[in-house]
Amino acid sequence: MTCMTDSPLTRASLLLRLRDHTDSDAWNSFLNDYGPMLYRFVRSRGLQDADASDVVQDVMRSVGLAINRLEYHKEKGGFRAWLFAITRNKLATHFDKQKRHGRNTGHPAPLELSDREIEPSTSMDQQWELEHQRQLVELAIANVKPKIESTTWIAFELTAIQALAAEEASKRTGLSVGAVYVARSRVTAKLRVEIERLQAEDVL
Amino acid sequence: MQAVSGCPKAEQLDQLIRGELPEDSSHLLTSHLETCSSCQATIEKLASGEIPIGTIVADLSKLNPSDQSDYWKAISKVEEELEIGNQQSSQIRRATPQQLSETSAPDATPLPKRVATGDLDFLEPSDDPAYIGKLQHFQIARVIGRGGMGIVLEAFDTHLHRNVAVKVLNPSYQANDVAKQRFCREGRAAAAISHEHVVPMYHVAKAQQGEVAYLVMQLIEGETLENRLRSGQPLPAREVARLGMQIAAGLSAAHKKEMIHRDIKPANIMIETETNRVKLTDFGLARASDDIKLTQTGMITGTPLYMSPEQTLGEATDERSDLFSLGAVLYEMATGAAPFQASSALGVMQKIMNHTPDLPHQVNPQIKRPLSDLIMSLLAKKPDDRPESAAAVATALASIVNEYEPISPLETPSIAVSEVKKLSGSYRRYQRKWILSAWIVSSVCVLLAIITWYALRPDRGDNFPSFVLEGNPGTVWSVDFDPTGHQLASAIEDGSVRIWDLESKTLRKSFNAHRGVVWLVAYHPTRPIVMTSGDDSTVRLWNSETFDAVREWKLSSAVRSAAFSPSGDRIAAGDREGMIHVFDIDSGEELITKTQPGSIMGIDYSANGKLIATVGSDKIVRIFDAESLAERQSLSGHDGPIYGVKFAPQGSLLATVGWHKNVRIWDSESGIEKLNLLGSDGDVWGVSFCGDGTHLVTGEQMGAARVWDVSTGKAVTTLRGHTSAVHNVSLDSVAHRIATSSRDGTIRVWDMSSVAKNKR
Repeated sequence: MTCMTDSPLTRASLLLRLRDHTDSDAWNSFLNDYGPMLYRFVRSRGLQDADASDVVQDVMRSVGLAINRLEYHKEKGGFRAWLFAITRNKLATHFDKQKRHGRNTGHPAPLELSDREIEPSTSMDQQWELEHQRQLVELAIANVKPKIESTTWIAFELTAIQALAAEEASKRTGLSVGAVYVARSRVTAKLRVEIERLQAEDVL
Repeated sequence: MQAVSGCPKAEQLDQLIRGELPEDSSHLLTSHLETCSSCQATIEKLASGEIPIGTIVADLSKLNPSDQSDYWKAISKVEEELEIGNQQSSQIRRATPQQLSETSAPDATPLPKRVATGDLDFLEPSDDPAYIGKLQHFQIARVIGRGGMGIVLEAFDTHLHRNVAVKVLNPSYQANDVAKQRFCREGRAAAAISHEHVVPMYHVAKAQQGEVAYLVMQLIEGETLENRLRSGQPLPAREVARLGMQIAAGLSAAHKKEMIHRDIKPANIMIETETNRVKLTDFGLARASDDIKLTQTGMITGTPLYMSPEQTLGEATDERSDLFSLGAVLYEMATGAAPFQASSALGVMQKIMNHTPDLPHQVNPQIKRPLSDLIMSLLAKKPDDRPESAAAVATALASIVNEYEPISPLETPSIAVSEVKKLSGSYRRYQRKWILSAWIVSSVCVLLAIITWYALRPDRGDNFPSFVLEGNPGTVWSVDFDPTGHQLASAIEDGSVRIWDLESKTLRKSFNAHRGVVWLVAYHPTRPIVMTSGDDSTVRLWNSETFDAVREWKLSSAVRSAAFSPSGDRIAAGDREGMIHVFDIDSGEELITKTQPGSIMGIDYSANGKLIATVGSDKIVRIFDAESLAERQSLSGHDGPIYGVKFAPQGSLLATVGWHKNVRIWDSESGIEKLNLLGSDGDVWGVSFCGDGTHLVTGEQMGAARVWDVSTGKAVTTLRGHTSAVHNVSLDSVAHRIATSSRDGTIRVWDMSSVAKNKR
């Protein structure tokens, strides 16, 4: 199958296609869309880069092995909830292992980690939602960017992403300072529409 | 509109965001924003709504896995373990990071963490097992490259908490004090150059009681130009000019500090992956290595391919020597081959002194004369005949780049205007072309809003009787009433087609129609046939009584849309790769086919069967002769992809809907846009005319279906009930009913008879 460019892989079709391990488009799409989100979430639980990467790898592996057993639920967030459960499991396993091996890991933070472990799960939920929101923004940026006139985008990128002052962005783009603010708000508004679309279509 | 006194209302700022203000007031507001910090905050808040987009965007770059993160390895490992896909899967990964200068072929496989190599003996053991060793406060992660001069390492600066590249003078040279001193001195000089096209030098240091000299510089994620040229193919002409412009700009920054590079070659030119911009590295190091080589062997070794004639003669060199090398590099980019090649180093040097290479525009016809002339002027044997400065060359290249397409301000290297002197020698005739204005991209015109903002409020009551057909396993992409109005067919995301009985409101039949999404379902106008098309690249006809498959056509890509001809003997289908196919449904033969740009999202026959219209990703409505597929009209106006097209049931009108609230009505005869219907909420996916063509129904992103009066262009009513996007609308030709299908997995059927009666 050729690469799907214009119609987003909707959740149901993506999940169906993930069952086919040879479908690299679907897998790339999945790893691209969910990988960074999982990584951020796991890091937020206090894991270092290497450990977090291991946990993400465990989660992805489980998804790959278990996807056949997952039935597509029509309700929103069915897949996300499933992924959350897997992630929580893998994290728990990681913390267990850490506790057992104690200080051999070379990371000086086991105490802090076990503190985090007993945090109420609501905060995990909130974090998961926050990461989901970030994931939506990320996808929205990828979708919206090609549709935006380049100077407008650059003004947005300089101010919103690189956090430069509007004056600096004005200097670099040749737009007036006011126009930089307008450009930024226009891109933001487009992102918002796209985010709402993604939410509505339940693409992730 | 009167001048804005004090701060504008939120409503006006909102209009400004939407680009819906008249030009003069838009200008006023924009200049007000210049200074009013309260309005600056307000407009941002208005734009982002409840989602803190600004904060999230700023966070993402901090929180996502860095290029050096183990995450990327983890992902590759998962792909391996699950045996995912084939070689294609590499697109998920970033370019394997950085090859700094002097590297030979990149390592295809990541180096194992611990490399037992003798030449790393100078490293102290690291207390962190993730690193292969340590050099003062730098934890060394891996070897990026090795070259004659030294070893380039990727390291983590534990003081400043950032990843850096560390270049260590080759241990066998460390004993040579002259070389070591020069290495450090040149490093310090390079640190004085601060330019966007020069790799920033952070630090020059000695470790182990002065035994080990090393340089610390920015870690660049990217590849070398050498790597990019490895295939022996020329680069696109614009790319030659663009990269050349940036190299020249970086050189001019060095020359301004009276620093000569002396070793400009593709291996010393990094191209940053993310920005596709040039970063020059290894300033002045050539001199240090020359010391060594000369002292050791008395003879210059290494590749002389990009040396200037004066360098090969061992004469004094100045900035113009770098320009010759730049010319040799440009020549190779333009033609795919270095200008002076021979089987031995000595042979190359002889050619550099005596031989004039073939002109680039003769070797590669893609290269236009001005660029070819500039390259040849750089390769002049006598320094005096070359262009006067790197800055002048950068400027000339900028105007060449600009001839291909306007330069983006971020591609424009910074060069002080005062440095731009006239070009010399054979290139002089080009000087009138220095269009300095090309450097300054004129400020972007604020969109002209022709029509005032249309408030969504004046909708009339939404209380039309409706019922819901639910329980579908996924998005319902398409619905159609059968010609008798008793049944409704629906196309579902999971590959099934479901047939509903409208009397009893129950599911009559569900069958697997396609592998993957079913995009379309449509009843034949007269015969008992239903057509479906799907993501599996097929169009299928089914018996609408027995649901046996009657016919199947296999196309080359997913079929998003198809339509029966009004006479019912043909179908037209459009696929994702922009191919239009017309089939005879009785013989099954393909009658004609044609390819258009972009992918086709919608296709329809005109009421008289003489025209076929297509819409899709390229924002253009195309109208073809239905027999010959000769293009009759191509209509522009949509500012984004177009998702749906329908001809009116009589006459020549045509409606299209798409991205960003676009609903437009056109005259297919004249190609004139008749109406631009304003007031939709979000993208518009579905469109259909009512039986007499007086009304249009559209399905929207935010879950509403909207009914429009075609004569006035105004929205008459809005049908609300779906909780997610409405993808398709179908009208019952018998009763006054509208069916809407949605991403929320339901179909709603609306009874519109009350409006129909009022109208009569």
